[in-house]
Amino acid sequence: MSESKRASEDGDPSKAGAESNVEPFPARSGPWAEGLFARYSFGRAVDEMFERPGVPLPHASALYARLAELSSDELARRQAQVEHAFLTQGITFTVYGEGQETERIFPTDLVPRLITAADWDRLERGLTQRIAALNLFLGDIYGEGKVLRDGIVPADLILGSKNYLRAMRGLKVPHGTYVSICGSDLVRCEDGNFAVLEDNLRVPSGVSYMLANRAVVKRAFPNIFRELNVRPIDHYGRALLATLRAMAPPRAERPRIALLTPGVFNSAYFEHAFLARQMGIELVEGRDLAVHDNVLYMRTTSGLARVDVIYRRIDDDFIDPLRFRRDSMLGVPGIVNAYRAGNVTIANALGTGVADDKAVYAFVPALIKYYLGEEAIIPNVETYLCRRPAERDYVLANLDKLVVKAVGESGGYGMLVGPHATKAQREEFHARVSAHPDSYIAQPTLALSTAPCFVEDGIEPRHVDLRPFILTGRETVIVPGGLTRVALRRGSLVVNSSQGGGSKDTWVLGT
Amino acid sequence: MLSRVADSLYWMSRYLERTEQGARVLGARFDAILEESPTAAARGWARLTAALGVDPPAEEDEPQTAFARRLTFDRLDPGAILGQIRMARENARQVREEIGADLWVHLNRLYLELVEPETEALWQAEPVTVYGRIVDGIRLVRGVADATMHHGEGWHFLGLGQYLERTLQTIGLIDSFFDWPQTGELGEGDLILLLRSAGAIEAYNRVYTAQYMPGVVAGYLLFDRGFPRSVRFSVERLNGEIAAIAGQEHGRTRGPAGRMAQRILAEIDFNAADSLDGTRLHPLLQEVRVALGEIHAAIIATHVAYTVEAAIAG
Repeated sequence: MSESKRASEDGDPSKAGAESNVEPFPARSGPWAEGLFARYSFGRAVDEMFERPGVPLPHASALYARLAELSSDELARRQAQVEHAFLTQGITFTVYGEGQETERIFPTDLVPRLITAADWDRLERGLTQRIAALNLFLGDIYGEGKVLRDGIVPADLILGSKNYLRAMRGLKVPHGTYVSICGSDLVRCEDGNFAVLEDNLRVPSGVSYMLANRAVVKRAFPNIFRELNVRPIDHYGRALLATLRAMAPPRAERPRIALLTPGVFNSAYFEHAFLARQMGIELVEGRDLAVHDNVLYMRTTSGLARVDVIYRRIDDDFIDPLRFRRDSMLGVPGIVNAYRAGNVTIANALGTGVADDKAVYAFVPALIKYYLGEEAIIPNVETYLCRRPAERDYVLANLDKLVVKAVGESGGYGMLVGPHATKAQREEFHARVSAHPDSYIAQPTLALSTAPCFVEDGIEPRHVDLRPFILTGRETVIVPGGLTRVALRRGSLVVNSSQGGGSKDTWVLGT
Repeated sequence: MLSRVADSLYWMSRYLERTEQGARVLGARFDAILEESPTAAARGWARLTAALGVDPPAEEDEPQTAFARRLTFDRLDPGAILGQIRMARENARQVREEIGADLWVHLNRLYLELVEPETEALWQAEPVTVYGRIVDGIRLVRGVADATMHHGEGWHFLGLGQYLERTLQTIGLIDSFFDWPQTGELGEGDLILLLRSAGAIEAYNRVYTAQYMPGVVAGYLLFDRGFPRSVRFSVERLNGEIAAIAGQEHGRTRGPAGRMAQRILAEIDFNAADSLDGTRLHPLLQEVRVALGEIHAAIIATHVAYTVEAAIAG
């Protein structure tokens, strides 16, 4: 079922449930009345499994039937198995404090989230379109700057951004690809359609959880997995390797590729090691690398070995202490010169952060039109730019309804969720937005769609988003799936793992 | 392979070997304790700290069990069993792409089992069982490494760490028992405990039957070519690992580390011809120990800690 069809069939989906997000639906009968789903509730948001209370969407009916057969003890047992698998594989992050180190697994929920073939087809086309426009945009602003002269995007927004890197001016990148690995955050809105919430063009993470979730969840539900004809994702590592190979400087016939990690204390270290292992490439730290005569080498047991492509999982600021932060111990002195000399490709390119700025985000549909002459297949979430006086005034007058975000922050920091904020917090943001309107944007509070999650001894809805991973070398490849992030606290809309979010497996169904 | 990775593999392997030996020595100690006089037990604990190269109890009246618990479960002490497994695990975590998923999972599981409170509770009642499990856990990790890893350079760096550490451990163990001038006092019970601590009792009995003479036991642990924890056996393997690592480079000889290993072998074979007494034993062990330190330094200098300038020039 297509998104638009679904929306039209359901009419206004907000009417499908009660007004509040947590109020249980009254009339219940059959397996729906008691047991696992007894606490399932509906609100403003659309649900990923149910058309209306007790009635699953057609593509989800088999999974619903299977879940309804299981006892909560059985689900708890499978959930424990999933968590144990994560722990022994070391899919953990370390919490430091008071001389103690505690290892925690990233919370994961075992109920898979389903995406129909038709929905996926549209997402795939939309994301491919979007990354094409963003790469053209980056090539333009680091090249001729036509888009700025034509007034499509205000020049000061780009040239004044701290993420605009002068070191990138005039540098040619292979295939014009600046962003080889993109992780866009999508949400399903109240109308049932997906929208892009954020483009992550720097060092998006989470793909290892997509793969790890799949590996364990398909074993927790083997029969239903087969029955639903779920599209495979385990070729992600090979697709990433092919993408990185395509990015090698033309000189390198058999390019040597390495993944640059900040090291074992980084919270995404598991992912770095995981991807390096999947691809069979070296996992390097800054101290393993050295630049000599603008050539990048890694230190091996038999001397120095030339490196052609760096898949960097380290921010721009830290990558070269000669260019950026002089106190950085994580980077490689001179790597930017080697990059500019064309002796090594860095993927993603440096300076891509300028295009996933929250203010630039608002212009992406216009950029798609400008570069490709097409309408955006996946819309943006409505966004108010506080740099525009009229929109700023609207934002200040409606702080209790809006989500306000600081431009240039990520990970859910520097954010005000109006309806959930205290008066003092709103006043603080009123002052901040008034003083620095350029630094803020605002969006309506979204009712992110909900998906069934196993919580304690029953299944309850939780808000989710979706982060697919878009690979671009010579061409764009998207593995059918993504990381579904879950706001595990009841009613919470914050899905970031740094803010108490978890994840679940995402099953894209075959045709 | 990356120098840092080789370094981590080498240390991971050394920590594993050190832990295995530590667990074996502690297990043998607790096994013996039931039938010992207090004097013998005190001497036994003193030998144990000497063999493992750890500090004796800070306070004289620290109960032996409290001391042993520290030596087993203090995860921040690199001299303790858990501390060493933690170090091995941290090194493994940084080279997961090299060692593969299976090896990591088994090592991680060993660590996670040991930090469980149930393990310490079991240890209170049955320490020997816990040490046996640790030894088994490390053997499992070694077996998985052998069976799943590509037997290339990384694997040889594991071997390098394993046999270098094993040689040091066996030397330390022999030295702790034959602490001249008390050598003459070593009774049958001491020699059996020594062989147990080296995991050698059954292998020794097969060769010499159950008759224990100080010179024969020391000779077995030092010179025997067939016992896998003897100094002779371990250095022979170490020599092979050095050659394998050097052989993967173009146009380089075995270098100083290989020459040093061959010198140890020659020295051992030369001494094996005569019967041992305490006056010759300690200097010989000390000489081997120093040579092992030089092998370590030479390997690190050649493969890990060289300067970029030297590498470009060379």
